[in-house]
Amino acid sequence: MTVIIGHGTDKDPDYLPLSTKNKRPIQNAQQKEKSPEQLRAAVEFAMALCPGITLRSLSATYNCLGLVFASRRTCIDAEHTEWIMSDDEYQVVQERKDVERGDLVIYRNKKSEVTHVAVVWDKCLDVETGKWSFYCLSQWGSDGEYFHAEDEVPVWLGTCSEFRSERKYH
Amino acid sequence: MTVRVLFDAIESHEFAAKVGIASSRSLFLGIVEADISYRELYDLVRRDNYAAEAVLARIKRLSELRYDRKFQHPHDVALAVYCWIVFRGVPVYSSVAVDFINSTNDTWWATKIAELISLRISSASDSWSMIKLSDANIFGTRNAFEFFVETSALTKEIDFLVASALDRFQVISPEQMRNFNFASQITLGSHSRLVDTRSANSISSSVIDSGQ
Repeated sequence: MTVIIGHGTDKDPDYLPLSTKNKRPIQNAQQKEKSPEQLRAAVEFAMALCPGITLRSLSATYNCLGLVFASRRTCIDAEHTEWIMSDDEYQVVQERKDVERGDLVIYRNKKSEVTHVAVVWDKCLDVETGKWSFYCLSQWGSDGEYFHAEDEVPVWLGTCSEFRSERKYH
Repeated sequence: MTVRVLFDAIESHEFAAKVGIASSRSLFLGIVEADISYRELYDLVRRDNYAAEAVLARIKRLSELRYDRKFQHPHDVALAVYCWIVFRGVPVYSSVAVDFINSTNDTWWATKIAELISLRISSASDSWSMIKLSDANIFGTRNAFEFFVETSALTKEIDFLVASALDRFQVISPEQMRNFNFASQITLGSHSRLVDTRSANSISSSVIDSGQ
């Protein structure tokens, strides 16, 4: 059995040169596009699960981390999220009221592993309860980019764990 | 349910859409293993050798399928799932399944799963001792873009280490290692480092840097 491993490294033909602020290379690979039938089926599945979502774009060449850290150009494995955020100086936003548009929403599973990343698109204060809610934008796997409420994602993508921001005030 | 019905379920657009939301290999496998069709087929394969062979035959058939090369392989997810079922249910067939996947173009998840299985197969070999990440044996060949790795500690950490240092690498068996003439075939690419932790009789240097 011949085994070639190292998918997503700089010699992978689908790799794009990409680094963190600290100039650490980020493993990544562009997925080939899926057929229109497959993409349509993915949207139908997502809409059936989460009826409140709105499709923004439908392409399989990037994933949720690729949207956030690579401008929709490639796929980055969610397992790399922690060190990428660390290198890029993302900090946890402690209070929900301090979350801003453009900050990141980090989803985790029960083992605290990062399962999904979304961008805060809008925020809304419920004047009756005094609670902030957030409207987000994210690519679901590599099967479509959606606007969605922070908690309206398929169960497999985990639950909102924290908000992160790279904002600086000099 | 019959094998045929389970094949249909796993090859459906709905199944692909469900597991396609994963953005990591571990999440992909988590979703797959929680799926009822996967579990039923896995149970069948474990109990019945006929079912195992049917899955292998299905992998072969899908891997030979003609499709529009502008797009991903239409059964990428199914290939990944079948390969994982074979690995979990009948490990002795794993290398055959992996070879079918390696001969298939335009796969994403199938490639990732085949890669994982390859690493696990190599680490499961009983004659390979457990070694630490820093002790991995990495051997170059004449071709600077191919390297051999001898280790049973092929985790995602070493995957990253090797990926960051080397171009491509292959896993070979201890038997192949013994018959390999390292001294004459080592060629390193830039940024590559050769680490040898075997006995002092093998390669004289414990660490060889390409120096490029």
